[in-house]
Amino acid sequence: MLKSTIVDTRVRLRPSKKLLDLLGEQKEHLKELPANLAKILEKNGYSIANSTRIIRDDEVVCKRPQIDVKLLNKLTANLPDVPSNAQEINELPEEEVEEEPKQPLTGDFLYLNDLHFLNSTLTELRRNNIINVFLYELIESCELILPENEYKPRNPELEARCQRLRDEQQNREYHKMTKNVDATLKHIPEDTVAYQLKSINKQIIAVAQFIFSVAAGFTFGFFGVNLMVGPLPFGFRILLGVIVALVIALAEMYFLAKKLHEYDEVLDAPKRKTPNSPKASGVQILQKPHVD
Amino acid sequence: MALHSAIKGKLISVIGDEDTCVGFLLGGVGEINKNRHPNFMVVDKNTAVSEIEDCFKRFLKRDDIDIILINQTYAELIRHVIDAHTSPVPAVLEIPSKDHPYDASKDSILRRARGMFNPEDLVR
Amino acid sequence: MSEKNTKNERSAAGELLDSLYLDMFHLIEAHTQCRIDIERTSSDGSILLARTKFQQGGQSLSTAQIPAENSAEFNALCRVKKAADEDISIERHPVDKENGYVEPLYWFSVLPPMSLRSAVDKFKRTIDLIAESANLQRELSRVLDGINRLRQTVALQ
Repeated sequence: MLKSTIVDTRVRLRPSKKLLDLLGEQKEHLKELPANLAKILEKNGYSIANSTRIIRDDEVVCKRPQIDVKLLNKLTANLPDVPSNAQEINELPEEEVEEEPKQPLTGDFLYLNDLHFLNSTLTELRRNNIINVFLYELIESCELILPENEYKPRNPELEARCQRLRDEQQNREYHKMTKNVDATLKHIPEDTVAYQLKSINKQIIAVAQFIFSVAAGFTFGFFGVNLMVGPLPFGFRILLGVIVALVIALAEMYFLAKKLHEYDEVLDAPKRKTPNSPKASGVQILQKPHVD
Repeated sequence: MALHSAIKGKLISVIGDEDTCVGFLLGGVGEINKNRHPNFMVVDKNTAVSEIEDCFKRFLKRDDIDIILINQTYAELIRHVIDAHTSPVPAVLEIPSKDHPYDASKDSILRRARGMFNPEDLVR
Repeated sequence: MSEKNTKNERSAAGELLDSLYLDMFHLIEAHTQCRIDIERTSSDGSILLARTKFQQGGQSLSTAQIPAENSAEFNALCRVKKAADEDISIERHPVDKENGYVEPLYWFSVLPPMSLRSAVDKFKRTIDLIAESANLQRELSRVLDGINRLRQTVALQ
């Protein structure tokens, strides 16, 4: 299974019995009810009064409350200034146990708009002196469920290919590292005549291309412009040829440097046969222990 | 010094894998100060956990750092140090890396939030 | 009289606690959303970095190009600035070689390819998101502290 990005960022709350019990008791005072909450209530065997209007979830007003910081500071002013560290540390170890359930959780959840609805309802009920319960007393016994990652099964073919590529890369790194140490590997493959000829060939071709295009540039400046524009003085023709050749040489130089740099890199990493190729048995045996 | 840093603003430091570091340095957060201390650390597979921990603590001590970014995978390795750090400055942000998506259930502050609730007889 | 007073205070505390809880839920959602945005932009950036590597060869973007402890000092282009009401924002300094503000793009190549430039844009965007996320995280932490303290106060009454 492959963990992928969180899609649903909503906070969920698993309702406790206490919360549902209270809602069940107060059903005749509820004028309206969000659809999600109504579903949860019905599913858990609470009936809903007929006078209750079911509203859609997006009808609930849902905006961030304003926090009265002054009031908060005033109310907590006489609290001893010891942070509740002890409590937090106690809570943490038990988290380790909860790592196991990796399946997506199922069941009924309260969402943010349900909580907003509950808050406004409870405020209403408190004002009418029907009950004296606060939202925090109800939700403290609920479980907060954080947004979860989705799990997708990974394509086995892709997985195998990634694994193979990773192995190959690690092998290459290992060989590069141990090239100086391992006497049997030391002269492979740089010291064979064929390898050296090949790399010399490549470089010669690159240099020949460079010389050829510079010569062509010069020729163009020397003869081509003369043919197009008409007879020009000899000195001017040479100057023209040299200028054109220089421009081409500059551009070509950049590419040549880049190409030669790439050759260096290729030379650095010794080329190896893959473990399954039926060649160079000595090397293959040497590779085996490092595959995993 | 305090006056100086107040004018210049504070730094963002990075502890992460090669790509994360390269990326954020390209974004321009990197700095090497007069004492030749960089504000970033590249973690590779040979880096020991104790090195990450030391580096993290060193960043916590520096007063010119305001945000510490750390890959969530490496944050997991030194979770106890991160949990112990509760003061708001510097803020420790756990960021996802390219092969590990963000996991909300591992984030220190969200775990703290979840710790506020003590579930009892839940409805399944 | 005093009994009524404490009752008023209690209900005020209760309502405040309720709104703190709701605020906490909002902040958690925003926090997660922000982290996911960070993830998205930074992985976009990583893809572009990978493309640059693919075009330029594997060693073109690596730790070797990053200045290490023994290289010359330089200053950060991006700094955190405290705005009003505790929030922070990102402040960028223009490139200025004389005073040590170097352009990091040129550590990696003399002629940066297009993909590297767009990767830089992605990561700059990520840094802005980081500041936003740091603000949210601080606010969330304040709200959590507030809830803790208020709960203790309510328990004491």
